[in-house]
Parts: sequence; structure tokens; C-alpha cells
Amino acid sequence: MIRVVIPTIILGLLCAAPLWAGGSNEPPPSSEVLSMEYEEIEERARGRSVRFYMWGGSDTVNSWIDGYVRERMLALYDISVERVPMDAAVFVNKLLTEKQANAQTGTIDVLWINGENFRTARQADLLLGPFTDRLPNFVRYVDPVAAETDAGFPVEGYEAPYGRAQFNIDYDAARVPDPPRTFEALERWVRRNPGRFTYPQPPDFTGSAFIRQAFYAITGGYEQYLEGFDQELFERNVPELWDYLNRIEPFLWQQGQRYPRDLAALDALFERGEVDFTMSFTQTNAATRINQGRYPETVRSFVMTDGALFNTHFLAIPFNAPNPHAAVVLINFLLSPDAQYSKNRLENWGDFTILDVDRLPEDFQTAFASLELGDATAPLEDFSRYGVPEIPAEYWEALERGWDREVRTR
Amino acid sequence: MNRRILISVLPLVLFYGLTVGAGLVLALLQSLGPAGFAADGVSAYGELLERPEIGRSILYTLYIAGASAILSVILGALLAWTLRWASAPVRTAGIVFHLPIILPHIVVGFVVMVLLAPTGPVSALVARLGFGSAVSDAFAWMLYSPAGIGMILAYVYKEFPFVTLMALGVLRLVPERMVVTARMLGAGPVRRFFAVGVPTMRPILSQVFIILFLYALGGFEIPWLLGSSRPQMIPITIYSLYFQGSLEDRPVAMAALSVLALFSIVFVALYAHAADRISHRERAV
Amino acid sequence: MIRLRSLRSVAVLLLLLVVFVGPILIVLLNALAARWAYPAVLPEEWSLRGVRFVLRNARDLISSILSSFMYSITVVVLSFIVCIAPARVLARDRFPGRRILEALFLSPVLIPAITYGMGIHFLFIRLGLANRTVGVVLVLTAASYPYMLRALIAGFEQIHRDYETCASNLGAGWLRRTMLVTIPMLLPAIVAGSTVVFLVAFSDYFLVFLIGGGAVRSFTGFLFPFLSAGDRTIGSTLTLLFVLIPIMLFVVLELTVRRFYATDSPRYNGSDGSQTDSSPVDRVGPGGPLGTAP
Repeated sequence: MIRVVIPTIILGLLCAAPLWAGGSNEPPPSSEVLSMEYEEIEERARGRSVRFYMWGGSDTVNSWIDGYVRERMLALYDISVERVPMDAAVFVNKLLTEKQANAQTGTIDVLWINGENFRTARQADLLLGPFTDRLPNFVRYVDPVAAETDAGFPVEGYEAPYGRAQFNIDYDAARVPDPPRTFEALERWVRRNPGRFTYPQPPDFTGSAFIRQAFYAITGGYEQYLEGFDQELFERNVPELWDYLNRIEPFLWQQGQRYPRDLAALDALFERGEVDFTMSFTQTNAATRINQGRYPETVRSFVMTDGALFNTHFLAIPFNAPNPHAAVVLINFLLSPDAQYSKNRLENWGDFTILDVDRLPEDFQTAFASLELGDATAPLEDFSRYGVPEIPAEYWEALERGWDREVRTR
Repeated sequence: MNRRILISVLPLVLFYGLTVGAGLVLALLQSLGPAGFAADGVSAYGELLERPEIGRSILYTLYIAGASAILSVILGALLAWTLRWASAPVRTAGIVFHLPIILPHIVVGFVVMVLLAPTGPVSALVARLGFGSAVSDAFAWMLYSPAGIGMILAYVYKEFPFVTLMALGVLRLVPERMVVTARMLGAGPVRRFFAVGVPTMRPILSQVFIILFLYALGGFEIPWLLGSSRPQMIPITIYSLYFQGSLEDRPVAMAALSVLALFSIVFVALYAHAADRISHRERAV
Repeated sequence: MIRLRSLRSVAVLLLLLVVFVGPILIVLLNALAARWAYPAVLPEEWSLRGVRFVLRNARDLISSILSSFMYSITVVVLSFIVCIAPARVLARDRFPGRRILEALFLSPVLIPAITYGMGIHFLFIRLGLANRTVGVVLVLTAASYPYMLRALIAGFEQIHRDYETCASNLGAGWLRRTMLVTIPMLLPAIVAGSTVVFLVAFSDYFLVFLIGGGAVRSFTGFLFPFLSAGDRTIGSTLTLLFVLIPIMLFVVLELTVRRFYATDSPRYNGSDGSQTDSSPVDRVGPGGPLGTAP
């Protein structure tokens, strides 16, 4: 054994030698795009391809990208868009590894990102930017104040706003005539109806959002957290959250022994009738699914009255994007009134626009105003009345790790 | 060692070293510290021991892997024995046993999800047969509970045909007259299996057992699809720590990975040694 | 006696059917079902949503299948190239450290792939091999070459050295000997090893996803999101599609190799002289622990 193990180790170390060979410290060639004019960028991008890495857990979103977006990009700019499903946390980690290994050319061109993941990416210097000033549609139609921060973290032009989402819950009105609208009511409901509710396991994006929203509601509101991450405040308040989640756990689906691994799994349970609720960030999720025939007509959605998280989601470009010009063109396109309108239609995705409607040409203003949002969607007044802003990004990770430690492994 | 042998073997040695060897070494190095291998020393290993759920994960993984491997070996051997002495039409029909071998693990996991779904057709059928609504709960328990029946079933379904394939290979060398003689001497089917089948198949079965056990120990795909939240299978924990955690989590992930690698190597060595000893003893007797 | 025999045969047949064919049937039904809610035992509504999906995404699907196919074939070829010389030496020669070397070479299949896969990931990124088909081919070869090695070793063990000695005595050089004598006789072993390596490479999800990083298309990568989300209809449709490929390969292989080896040579008969209906592919398979893949 020894006769073999030692030579192997030596061999392995030799092979690891290239790792210590340092990489260059020059800025990657992709950064030139930051100083070009848009017309030039578009010119350079023609005929190229672009890889769009995004969360793949919603087939509605996937279909819109694979259909409308791909088709239009090809027709308008001769750019082929390839969608790659990958969770944000995973591709951020991938970029982290690539940065460590000094890989100047990666494979990702555009990222769908926000919140904690954006913060991690910025802190590790994984993103190309600032680039939003290169985008005509951003300059023309986006309210700069709205695009200033992402979960309290400064954006500084490193990501472009893509859409606005708000956390809501779907249920079948035929099965559940009176759904709980607050977390307190939820606790009573699950006790009376054991095994019919659950939430996706954090760090799934939606599951994470659920516990963030619960955190607000259970510890007395959101205002106290907006000043930035306060470790002491967090440690003082968070035990109440864990108590709540552990208290309701035995009344959850499968007694909380198993949480759906992601939102798609929860959706499948809801559709099969194994649970009575599912959740989503897309406001018109229920209406879209009814339209597709996946939900029965009686499904409705609501927002929790003790606070419904709203957030903006963004698009960014990694430091080692192989096709940065095409990336800029794609992002600009996704910010165009046409694309934003198509995205907002419930037949497609239903995600709300981040464009400042007042700045749009009249015909678009009318179009957006007369968008059909579907009967199943919660009333717009509810969205604005009960909306609460996202918690600063540092809390996201603290909550996810805490959940893993205090709830999953208890 | 003469030159010809050296030249023949060297390319593979190099290839192995540059891939598998380097991979193992790198996992070890990464466990010693974050980012640029700043040797934080073995603190990651200490942290590993501190996390209480790691211990539970390890035991759980051992349980799932062990149960899957043992069941696969038993069922596979039984099927092989049955097919060996079956009539020609049954043997021809028996070709279907190859099916799970060509299915990838993700597909077998999916099939088990479909079959064990509490609201699925199999559950409905069994309920129809008179067992009532408790069936749905039973299926849910099998699929979702930490007992891990779903995972075990998936591994067994995928692996036991492989065992059959291997066992059939050896059983083919057993001439029919041996079994006929045994029958003439009054041995019943069970006795025949244990007296003739088991000794013939034992060497191959023990080799296959190691392969299956170690595979299930490090398998990612089936636990991802069918695993429970608590306890978690070790490969999922490692993946989570590395790909969904932060930079500080990486050394811990790599530490767990190195421990897994070490365990596998040691296990194989011990097992091979023990198997050697036994066969030596058998031959002496 | 006879009645018992046939009763047992029927029981076995039934068991085989239920265990192996049953699940595929259920998958088939799922592929064609629209709504299939509990407690129905059969779908209430049928739909071609799965089929429509496949047709709509045919281009992506085909390119994924082709990609998987191409890299799998490359893995087979590469593993053959790296294994052929060592196999001969390990089968025929006795030298110090032989057993340890053999154990080392066969180890990638014994230790879980993630243990070296994640380390390789980092190395490949450094070397620029990650996110490329080259990297995927290399890592898949590393994980599956032992099957080829084992098959080739078994193959060499069964070919008597004398054939090659005769050939060289008759004046054939190294190349002619290999091409005209060794390889043809080794063919069943090569086929056996290749089938297994191909299957392992084609079916792999984790390593391709890890090293390929989403940039290398694969059938398993295409399949996985639907399976994990539990989309019954599309997942089932794609599963059926997936199953067809190895089946077709197997059929083609059996037909061609059988035809090639339809001889009365004693080597392909049973050990006690009786005719068996096993194909030469099976013959070479098990002879050691790694004749075929788990």
C-alpha cells in the first residue's frame, strides 16, 4: 500500500503545481465594453451567442425565455440566447471558484440575481460593471432611485433591475374557504389541519423568503432592521422565529421530517393535492397557472396582512463573461418596453415591470394600465398596502444558516 | 520490472495521477484552509466534529448504503439462481431484468417517486384492494420518512439486476448435473440454493457488495431526489456546504469529502484483506 | 412434478413482469396522462402535452442527446486507448507490485466519484478545462475506464499467447499482429467494456453537471430539472425516450456481434461442451468484480 500511496501523493502534488502558478492581474478583456457606446456594442454583438444563467424552477419563466426572448433576440439582433438553469447560490459559488482559480474567460454571460447573492458577488468582485449607464433603455425609462439599492446593498450600476416581485400564497378556495392571513392565524390553521402546509427548504429562494417574512411578522415588524445588519438585534430577536417554526413543525406536511427540496417540489405537492398551499414571488402566478390548465379555476392567491415582502430582481454580468457585448444587448432588450410588457402579461410570466410607467410613450402607458391580471390574483391595493421591503442582505444568510441549525437539525 | 512493462503501464499511471490522484489531493489541500490553501491546518476537521448533525448524517448514510447493498445482493442472487434453472421461455422473458441496468440513477429515482407517490396509481391500486386510506399514509411514510425506504428502494431496484448479471456469469459455470444430483439426494430447493448456489456465488457477491456499498455511500443523485431533510445524506451535505454555502464552508466540505475518501480506501483494503484470508482458509480446508 | 414446475414458471414470469415491466408501463401511462388525481388507478384525462413538449423542444433535445452521445463515444475511445497496453501487461505478466497496481487502477470505481470529482473541478478550472467537453470527457474517462480495463484484462486472459507467438513466428510485425490477430480476438471483450463505459458516461449526471458547469449539454442535464421538479408528464416522456437509446444500442450490438461470432468454436460453448445461448458479450463479462457496471 505505502509503495503506491506515496508515489500517488507525489504525483498528485506535482499535478497541483499549476495551481501555485499565479494568474495575471490585468483586467479581463471583457471590461472594454464598459467604455463603448451602445451602438458600437450592438454592432459587435451581432451574430454572437449569449448564455443566460438563471433559476430554473419555474417552467413559466423558462418558457418565456425560451420562446419570446430567444425569438426576438434572434430577429432583432441575430443573437442566440441559451438559457442555463442554475440556482443563484450555485452560480455565484461557481464564479467564486473561477475567480480563485483565475479563470479569465468563463461561460456565463448574464446572471439573474438579487439580494444576498448580489452582495456576495460584489464583495468578491465577481461582477463586471458599472454597466447600466450603457443601456439606453435603462437611462430612458428606469427611475434611478428605484434601482439604487438591492436589499439595502448599494447597486452602483453593477446590476440592472429586471422586474418587481411580491410574495404571495396560492390556495384552492374550493378546499380552503378561509385561509389564514397572518402568521398567528397560520399557526392556528396548521394545528387544526395537520399535514396540509409546508414550505420549501431554505436555502431555496422562496423558502428563504418565507422565513424572512415570518421573521418580520413574528419579531414586531420590519422597520427595526432597515438600518443594516445588527448582530445583537438579530440574536435577541431570532429565537422567537425558531420557536415559532419549531412549534408549527409537527403540524406540517410529513410532520416536518421532510421539507420540499425546492419550490418546484412544493408546487408539485400542491398540484397533486397533498398540501393546500403553495407560494410564489410572481404576483400573477395563480392566474397564469389557471390559464395553462395546471390549476383548477377555484385557485386564488393572497398576501399576508402582517407584511408581504416585495423585492426587485436584477440582471448582472460576471467578470469573466465570454460575450459581454451580447450580454449588454440582451439586458437592454429585457429592459425594453416591449419585453417588459410581454413579461407582465399573465399569459407569459406576469412579473411586474420595473420601468417607470410615467416615462414611457403613451401607447405603452395605456397598454400597461389595461393589463389583465386575472381573477385569481390578489387585489393590487393589497400588494401596496401590505408590502414590506426586503431585509438587508446580511440577514438572508444569517437566517438560512440559522434555519439549518435551529430548525432542520433539531 | 522490465522496460516494456513500464512503458505499457506509465500512460495509465499518469492519467490516473492527473485526474483521480490530483482530485483526491486537491480535496485534501482545500480542506486545510480556504481560498489559497492558506494552511489553517486541520481546523476544518475540528469544525466538522463540532457539528452534531454530521455524526448523524454519517450513520444515516452508512445505514442507507449498507441496507441497499445487502438487499441488492440477496435479491440479485435469488433472481440469478432462479433464472439459471428456469425453463427456456422464462429465461428468454428474463431478459427484462437488464432494464434497470441501463437506466441512469436519476431516472430510477424518478420512477420510485412516481411509484411510491401517496397520491399515485400504485397507492390507489393497493387502496382499492381493500386496505383503505391507511395505504396513502404508508406510502408517504415510505417515500418521505427518514427511514429512507424510497432511497433504498431506488438503489436496490437499480443495483440488484447488476448483481444478477454478475452472479449469472458464475452460475453458468455450474453444470446442471450438480443440481440434479443434489435433488436426487433429497435436497429441497432451499437446501440446493445454500449448498450449491451460495458457495459458488460468494466470491463475486462479496466483490459486488463492496462496489454497491461504496457507491451508495457517495451517491449524489438518488439522495437529491428522494432524501429526507433530516438526517441528510453526506454527499448532499457536502454539496450544500460547497455550492450553497460561503467561502468559509468550503474547507469543511472538503474535510468531509476527504474523510469519505479515506473511509472508502480503508474499507476496500480491509475488506479485500479479509476476503483473501477467508478464501485462503477455505482452500486449506 | 411438471405442474409444479410450470406453476413456478408462471409465478416467476409474473414476478418478472411486475417488477421490471410494470414500472415502465406506469411511466408510459404517466407520459400520456393529463389529469391523474388520486384515487384513480388509471388517468382520467389523456393528453399529448408530453409529446407536444418534445416536438416543440426537439432541436434542444436532439442537440442534448447528440452531445451526450458524442462525449460518451469519446470516453469509450479514450478509455480503450489508455487501457489496452496496461491490460495486456496486467493479464500476462507477473511483476512485483502487480496486484497493488491493479487495485489502484480499478479504484476510481470503488471510491465514490464525488471524492475526486470535486477536487478535479478546481484543477480543471485552473487548467481551463472546465465548462468544456474536453474536461467532461476526461473526468468521465477517469470515472469509468476501470470497466474497460477489467474487460480487457479478462479478454487477454482468455486469449492464449500462442496465437500471437505463431503470428510473430510467421513473420508478422507488431502492428500487423495487433491489428489482425490480437484485436479481432479481443473484440468481445472490447465490446463488453465499451458497452459498459458508454452506458456509464451516457447516464452520468453529477460529474457532467459539475465539470461541464451547464455549458456542456447533456441528455441527463436536460432531463434532470423535470425529474426533480416531479413534472410527471414531461419527465415520463423523456424517460421513455432515454430508455430507447441503450435498448436500441443493445439490440444493434447483439445482432451484429452475434452474426460475427456465429461459429461452432468450443470457446463459445458451455464449459461442459453443451451449447449455451449466451452471447459472446456475456461470456467475457463477469470473470472478476468489474465485468459490468452497477
